[in-house]
Amino acid sequence: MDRWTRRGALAVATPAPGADPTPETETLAVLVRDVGRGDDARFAQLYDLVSARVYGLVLRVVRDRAHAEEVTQEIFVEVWRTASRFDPARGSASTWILTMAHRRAVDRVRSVQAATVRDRRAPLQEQPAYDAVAEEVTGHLEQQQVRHCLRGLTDVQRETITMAYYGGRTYRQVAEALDVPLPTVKTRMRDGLIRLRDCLGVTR
Amino acid sequence: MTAFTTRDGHVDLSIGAYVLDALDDVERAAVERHLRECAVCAVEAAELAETAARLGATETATPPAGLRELVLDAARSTPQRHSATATSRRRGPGLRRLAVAAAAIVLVAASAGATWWSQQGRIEREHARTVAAEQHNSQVRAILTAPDARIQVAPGVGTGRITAIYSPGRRAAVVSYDGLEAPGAGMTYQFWHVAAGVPTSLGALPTGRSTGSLLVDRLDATDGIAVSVEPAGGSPSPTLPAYAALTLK
Repeated sequence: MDRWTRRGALAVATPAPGADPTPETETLAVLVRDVGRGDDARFAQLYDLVSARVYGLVLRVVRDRAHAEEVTQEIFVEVWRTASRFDPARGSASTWILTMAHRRAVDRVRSVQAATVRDRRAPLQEQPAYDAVAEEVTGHLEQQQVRHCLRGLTDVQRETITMAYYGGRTYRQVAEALDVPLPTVKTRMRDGLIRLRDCLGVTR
Repeated sequence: MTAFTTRDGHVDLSIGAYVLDALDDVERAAVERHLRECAVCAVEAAELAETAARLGATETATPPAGLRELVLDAARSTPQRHSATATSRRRGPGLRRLAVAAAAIVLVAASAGATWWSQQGRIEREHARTVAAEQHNSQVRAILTAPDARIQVAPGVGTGRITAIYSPGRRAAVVSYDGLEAPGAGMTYQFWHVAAGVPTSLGALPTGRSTGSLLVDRLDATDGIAVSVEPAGGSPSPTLPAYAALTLK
């Protein structure tokens, strides 16, 4: 159900979940542009539109609600602070935000690991295998598409990518965990991402 | 300085790990430096970053209700960046992690161990930062494409990088250096070939040179390449401790 938010003569449409993402892409770009001009009402709207994605990703990576809350706040403050530097020609606003979000989530994982006295050889808290999640039948169209494309990867490609991306691990940690040589891990990450890129139809 | 490209293209060994945020700070800085110089790789990095962001969009979770107000409050008291030249700073956890990573790099350098990374078969892609001396190009190309060529990266080189691509069969290596930090007024870097503990100068860099490469021959396995900081013009023997060192295998 569409929700129209009015601000003076301007209205911002909130697309229904599962709807064609294209209008939302433009919506987010407009919101970020306005946030860059100091519009805090737009910033609140942006938060309402993307906070579940940001918090969801951060929570998946840091696996701790307290950390996830803090990092999510940091991310949105950074969005507020640097919105004027977002360039829509270089990619979508959601990519911009999620790239920032992932980076900060991984930073938090690394700093927590560094600050904690921990046996290096102890296995990191394991993620459920991504395939288990992929058995979910329902979900946003975009999510289904990603799961479908992940299934098209080889096991090593998928494991290295999901361990690094969702697990916040370095490629060295992935190599150790999977007992795969370092250069192989890097190559599989790259060719797995290329296959995903082509399956998802990402082009510039 | 002309960039050397193999038949297949540019360096990409780390771009996948880079967009997945799976590199450490030093490696990440090296990739970012390369992306500033290489348009082809920058395009690939952008596409793969977009792809990675699609992975991110699959996870959703409702944040706690109180977070919204905290975020809006925090924004209200945060000034916005408007300068195009301003670089964002990582606060808090980011700074802590950099401090820990820097300490680790110092420890590795002090242990004089070399990071060893060997590749099976041909080197598929390496973007050699080569000084274009025409008489060396075919020799350089021969080393880079030799079936037994291996890449080795010297540890502890701050935010710069020193790489050796060594072909035991040809007894030669291309030693590339990139982004070396300024060594101090009146000082420069000098390269050494160390055989059986005896260093022979490969030359001192012109002051201010921070990126380039050199061809080294008559190399045997277990020989070393060392880099030291010397007064401009170089020294007859290296000033220890060396700035960086690696042992060829």
